[in-house]
Amino acid sequence: MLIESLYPEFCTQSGDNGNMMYVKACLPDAELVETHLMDRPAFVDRRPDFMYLGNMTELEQERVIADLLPHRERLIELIEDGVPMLVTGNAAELFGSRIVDVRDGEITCLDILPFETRRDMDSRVWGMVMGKFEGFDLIGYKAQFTQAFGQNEGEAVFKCERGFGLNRQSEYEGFHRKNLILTWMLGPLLPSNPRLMRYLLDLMGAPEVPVAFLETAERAYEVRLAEFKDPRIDITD
Amino acid sequence: MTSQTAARPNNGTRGPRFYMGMLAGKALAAGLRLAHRNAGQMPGVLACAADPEFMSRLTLPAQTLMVTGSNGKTTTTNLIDDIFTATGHAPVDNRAGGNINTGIASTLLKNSKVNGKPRNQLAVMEIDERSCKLVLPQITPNYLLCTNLYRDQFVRSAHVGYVFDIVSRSIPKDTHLILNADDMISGRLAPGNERTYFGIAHLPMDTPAPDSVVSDLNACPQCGGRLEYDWCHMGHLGKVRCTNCGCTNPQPDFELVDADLEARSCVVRENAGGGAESTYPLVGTSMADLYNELAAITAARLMGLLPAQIACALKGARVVSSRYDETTVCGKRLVNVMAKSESGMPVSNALLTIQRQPGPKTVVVLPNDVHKEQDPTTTEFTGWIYEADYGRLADPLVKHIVIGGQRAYDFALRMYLEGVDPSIVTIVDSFDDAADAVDFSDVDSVCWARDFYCTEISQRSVERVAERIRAAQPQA
Repeated sequence: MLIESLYPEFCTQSGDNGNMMYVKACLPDAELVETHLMDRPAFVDRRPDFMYLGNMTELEQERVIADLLPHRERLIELIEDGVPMLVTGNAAELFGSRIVDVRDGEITCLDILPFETRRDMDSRVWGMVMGKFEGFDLIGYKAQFTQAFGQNEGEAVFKCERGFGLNRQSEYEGFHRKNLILTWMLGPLLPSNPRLMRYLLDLMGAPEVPVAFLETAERAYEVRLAEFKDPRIDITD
Repeated sequence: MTSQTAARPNNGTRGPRFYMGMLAGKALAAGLRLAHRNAGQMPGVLACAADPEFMSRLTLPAQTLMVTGSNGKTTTTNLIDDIFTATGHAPVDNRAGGNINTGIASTLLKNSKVNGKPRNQLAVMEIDERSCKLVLPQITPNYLLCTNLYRDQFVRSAHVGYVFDIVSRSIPKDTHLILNADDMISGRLAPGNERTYFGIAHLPMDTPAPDSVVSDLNACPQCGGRLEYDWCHMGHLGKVRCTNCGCTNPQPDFELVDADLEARSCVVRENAGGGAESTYPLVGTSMADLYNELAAITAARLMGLLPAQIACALKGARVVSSRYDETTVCGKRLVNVMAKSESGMPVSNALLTIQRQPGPKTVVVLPNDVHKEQDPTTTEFTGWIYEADYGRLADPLVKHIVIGGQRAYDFALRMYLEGVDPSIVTIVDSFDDAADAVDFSDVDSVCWARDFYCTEISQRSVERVAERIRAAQPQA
């Protein structure tokens, strides 16, 4: 089994590195390729069983876009071929058409999904997000200087029961196309959602592999889920 | 002491709003003083409300130094302040006023006559990194010292690049920068400004490379290429170069070339001054202490003090630590370390301190969710725990771990993912139950990693464990 972690040196903002920690704990014998900036990605020549890209800084976004643009067609091919991919935090923005910064101009992105991003570094949006995904409650947090605009209603990760979607007016979170899960939720999404880890292991063709430390992860998840379902609790800006 | 520039007004125009703010602020400060209360930042709040550009209309002290940075800015500011005070200069400082814009306005107001002219011609003030964008457009300090830049609380400060941009874009072009040569992040602030670098040479306690789970210097800041370290002092601070473009640290002007922790002394070489070396007493023995002291020495030298004056001022000085307490009960050491939550770095430092305690130990983790016990309608983002080095607890000398609080299972999972054996972990629902779950039978020490808000709880916990240890002693 081949797991490719894209730009792990960057994807440590807000604890997103916890996602690959959890994948590694579940699949200790898998072949793990960590692709750094300027490396030739493994996915160019091989078909990974899982790919991950996480939250990063704005400068790093620009560097990663430049690094990935030559491989845009291959990424589309892998998505259409059903390769499981998880994209968290502002890494999602790389898959839209462009990022428009109110102060610093615009950045051309991979243009794989139908949205664009508007960025204002003086305005941060922040909050809890929850929705039903594949029959379970998926929960997470957002913190971003951006809002996205586009059409995701037919292929969203979920309809938000809490929090906002692509932008403050949107009810629909992220994109779920084939086996690509692309969400602005950030941080340790997999350790915080062991049922999502289970779902991904199944997609990777490892239904027999147990989710690591499942009982502990479930206990933590249940505590947080109760908070997300409590209408008195709200940290959304 | 030398002065590079004369006292000067910033924009000079002082209208009715300025005088209204000045008088209101001074009246409030006087009233609070009469009531024996610390005025804090309130006079500044009043003055800035009356005149949003209040600070820009003041004449700054002839020598104004501001200190910013993620870690060590309070200690460094206090050290510089103490050095100048010991040499008879008694600078104005903002220890009482606070380090955000209104605190600095309050400090400057109290140091000003009603006409806006300064009473004291020397100011040493700490400034919060994010407040630079509110303060530095209004005033031009002679010097700005930045200790370092690290990621801070994600919710509050996003990432280190965000803070870097705020500081760098705010720095006035005439301000001389005092920067850390070993920090490839803050060392690149405002590249057009004049600057002096301080840095530490290779020391025996260095590691070959950063050994934390995350690093803020994860790639070359110039091209994004891979970095190689010659050595690392702490965090991402060290001697480093890019394998792609060759970018490397600047040469330090003031370089700490030797530190004798036993004798508590260090040698600083002035590379820009013909390589003269001076010996100074050490005020602390951690790497962070060395950096803070070196930064203070560099600032004091630039501002005209002689090495002998500085060394004399530092003699007997000690860094006051509110973050570490230790007591011994019946031969067992009880070590209480602050691990300020919501940011990986302070917690990682605390865990490193605990890991370095000699002998087998039990660790009690009291994280920051104490507020949930008091108010269950609150919640918080806990992603930062994946930025902290909980893997340090996967150490054969850590025999037991007790975790308390509502997030205990999150912390346990985090530890398991870096190799902590689940069989040594005990989870308790309440913080106060943690003390009763501590197994001290086969360890030399019990160590608490406690959040800032768990100080009282941890003290109760230490006392309870101390009672249990005494009670377990055989009767004479």
